[in-house]
Amino acid sequence: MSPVLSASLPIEFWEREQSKRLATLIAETALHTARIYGCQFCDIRIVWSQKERILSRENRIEELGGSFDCGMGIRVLFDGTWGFASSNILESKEAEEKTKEAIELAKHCRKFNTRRVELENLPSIQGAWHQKVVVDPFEMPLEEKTHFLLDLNDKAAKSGAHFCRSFLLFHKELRVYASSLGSWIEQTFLRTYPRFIITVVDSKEGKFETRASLASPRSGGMEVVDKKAFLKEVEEATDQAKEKLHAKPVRPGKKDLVIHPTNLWLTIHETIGHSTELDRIMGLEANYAGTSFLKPDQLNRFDFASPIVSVRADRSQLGGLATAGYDDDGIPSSWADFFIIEKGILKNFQMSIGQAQWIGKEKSNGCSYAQNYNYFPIQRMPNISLIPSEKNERLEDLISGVDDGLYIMGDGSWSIDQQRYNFQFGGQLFYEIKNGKIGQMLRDVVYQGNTQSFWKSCDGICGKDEYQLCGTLFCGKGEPSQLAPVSHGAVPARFRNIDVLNIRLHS
Amino acid sequence: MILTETETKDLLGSIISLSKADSLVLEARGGLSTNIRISKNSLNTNGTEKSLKLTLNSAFGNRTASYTLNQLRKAEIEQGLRYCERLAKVAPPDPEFLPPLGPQFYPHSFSYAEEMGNLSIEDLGRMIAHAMDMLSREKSSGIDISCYVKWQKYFIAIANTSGLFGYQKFANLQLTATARTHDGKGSGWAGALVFHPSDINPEKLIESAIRKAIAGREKISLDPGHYTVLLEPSAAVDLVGLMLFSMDGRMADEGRSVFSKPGGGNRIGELLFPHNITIISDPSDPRTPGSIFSTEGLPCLRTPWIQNGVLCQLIYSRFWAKKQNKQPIAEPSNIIMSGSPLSLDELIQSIDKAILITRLWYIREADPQSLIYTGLTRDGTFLIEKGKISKALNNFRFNQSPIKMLQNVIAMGKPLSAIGSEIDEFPAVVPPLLVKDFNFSSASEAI
Repeated sequence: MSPVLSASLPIEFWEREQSKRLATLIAETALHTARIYGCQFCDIRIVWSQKERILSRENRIEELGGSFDCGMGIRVLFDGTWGFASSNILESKEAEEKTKEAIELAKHCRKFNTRRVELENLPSIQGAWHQKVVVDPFEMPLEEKTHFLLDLNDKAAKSGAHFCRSFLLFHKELRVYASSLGSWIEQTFLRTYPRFIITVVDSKEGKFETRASLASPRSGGMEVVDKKAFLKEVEEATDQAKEKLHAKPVRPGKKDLVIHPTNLWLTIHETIGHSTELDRIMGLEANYAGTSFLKPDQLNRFDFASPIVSVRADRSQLGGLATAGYDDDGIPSSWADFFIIEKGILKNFQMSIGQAQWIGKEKSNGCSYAQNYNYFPIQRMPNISLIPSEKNERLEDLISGVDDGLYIMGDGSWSIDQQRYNFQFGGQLFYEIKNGKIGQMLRDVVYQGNTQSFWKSCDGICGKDEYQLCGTLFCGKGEPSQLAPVSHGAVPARFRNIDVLNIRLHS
Repeated sequence: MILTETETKDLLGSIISLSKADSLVLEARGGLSTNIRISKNSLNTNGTEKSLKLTLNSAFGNRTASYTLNQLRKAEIEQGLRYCERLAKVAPPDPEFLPPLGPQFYPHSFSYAEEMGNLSIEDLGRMIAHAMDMLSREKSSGIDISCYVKWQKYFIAIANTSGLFGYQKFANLQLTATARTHDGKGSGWAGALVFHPSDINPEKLIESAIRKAIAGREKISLDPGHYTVLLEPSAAVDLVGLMLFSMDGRMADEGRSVFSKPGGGNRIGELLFPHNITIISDPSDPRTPGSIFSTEGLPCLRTPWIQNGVLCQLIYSRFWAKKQNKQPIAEPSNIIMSGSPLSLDELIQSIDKAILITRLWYIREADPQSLIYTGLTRDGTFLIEKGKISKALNNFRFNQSPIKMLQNVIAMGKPLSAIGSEIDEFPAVVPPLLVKDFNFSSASEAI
């Protein structure tokens, strides 16, 4: 039998010429309707989205599933008020109806709108951007992917794991954007997420421990999955999970932490990424994701972190999950390259269109994203990363400067308050640091802190040789809640005098 | 897009007739929804959505695959079906495969009321107008209101080549509101998920959020520690719900759950909680209508999970039930927890000292072994002293197991429809819970 290639679908929509003709007709209809009804601005996103999920546990493929969906989302600005409508039916008649529906919604909501939307001067763009892919997973034989996962599980079992779940997720999208400013943008994305989770059980004592893979999802094809490294890691992970079962519980208290990028990315995401979103700062997320401890007038003045800390936003980063040519407002990625924190000082907020005027700026900075065609685009993070030190310090240099501390790898549980002050993070692996050297494994560790004091306690950052890009496909925000992909680059960093808890003692 | 039961039966029947696989399981979902989001006294975003989606699950012997599509013209369905069948043919054999379930008898649920299904944009606008009216009355108090109203009606249907068919329609409305004082010192929240328009009182909800925001302006600081707390239903439902979702029988039997018994097996039949703790699910309860069939097509019947403190059931998939020689038990499709006749105010009057918690936020599992969750209090944390709310308090981070929380319940109030932060679209009726020794591990500066 010839190999089954997932790319044998999705049907005609991926035929570029055909989809382009269809998209052109739909977009022209929507934009024309909006013009006739007197809208100030209109944009339309047409999205074709293909996904594949292969989930496994032990010796079986639990779920082998593909999906294909497409549809359009039309946003109108009518008398200073937004209206949005979406549909899964890609026909020009539907585009006309949905545009009218969006206008109707805007008219109904106008009476509640005390903050009229004022758009800055926006560019008209004819552009295209396509994610570079070396090995398209949708063009790989299915057997290759299922065998990889079953091999992983088998290796884990042979190493002594009682359970191993593993999965591969692939997401490919074609997004076409058109606006009443004459913009026409085509982009294709491909994101790949491999993961395994080992569990070992001590049934006599009624205990179990887990260890998940440390790799993050990335933009790109199957080339982002280092199969050999994964197969090696699953054996290490099993040994480490077994070691965790009988590891010494951490003694709580103030400790110095050396945090690996596989853990630190999530801390960057929650404490810096979300706190510097202008819509939160202005109170637009107050009913759900929350506000921020930052204020608009703190730009260029707020002492956010120690002077060795610089954090940059970048929508062009190679392999970044938020990497794109243009955001979902049709803004080029070149606008989304800026310092959020420079040498410890707050330098910029993230903005989507219509927000720049709130802080006296002339234009936004390319931070808009919508989960799919059926979501209103809102302000979302580009890739946000910690800049490596120019001193080129190594991990062992950071560790050698710690008398009593912990080395933390991998992301675990995470939680932060609605204004981004108080956080608590877990992890995958914890090692004691005594007198400048890594010691035995510990368990039950979580660390807590306050965003500003945590970042001000940072006194060591490694050089670029230890840079690692991590991230998530599932960052949530907005009402209705939307997920967004985002990457965070980091190097190992050292933080002094941080509250460490033993989670089982603190309950 | 809403299809009627007859239209759905015809559609799914026609797809089954096209199937070349040994078996085919189908699920169709479609709906219409509208949302309006107000932030800080003004429109933020809005939207309408029309959707229709079909999931196919084909099997040849014990090789299976699924495919989901949202383009449902005949040619596209047929193409999707052929593709799904090609995937299934090369899928590795599944040692846990079970043939599709035969016809089932599903209970009735009050999940769709015509009055709710017929709500319009104008109706939603009127609800928002209530918020704006309240705002204009409260302007002198310096209040910012943010609220979200989402109306949706949708259907879910399942069918398979063994003759099973199930169809259910839903219509509901969600309204949540946050009031914040201009000075940033006070924040209050209230919310509801209802299945009949007469069950919501937007004015009362928004008034409650405003009242809490104003009362919360002058705070005193309290150190973290173990306290007696009074969790309002919106706070209680998150921890109760997260515990309920962790009640997987297989996980427990395999030794990796808080419900595992040391030495092997699970804890079904054990008295884990005080005698007054009873938690069931029942989709036919008109207060909180749930799904009538599970993801596997099993009927969601009235199921006691904890009865008078005894763990009496765990969720059993068809495969695991067969392996363990048990009846399969569908996952809960709603949460119904027993309480007492006392209103929240009456409960407060009976309390000498406790911390009142309006809602919880950003709740994540911090330790699966002991089922410890972490998270924070938000939008209304107060001190109760001598039967009255006496002072506003700072917020806290908690590290707490819902198991231990339910073991420490010392009193309960009247169960009410509740919407939490994590359990936010799941029907639930939960009482306010008075709990001793609730663990706050640190204070939060967030308002």
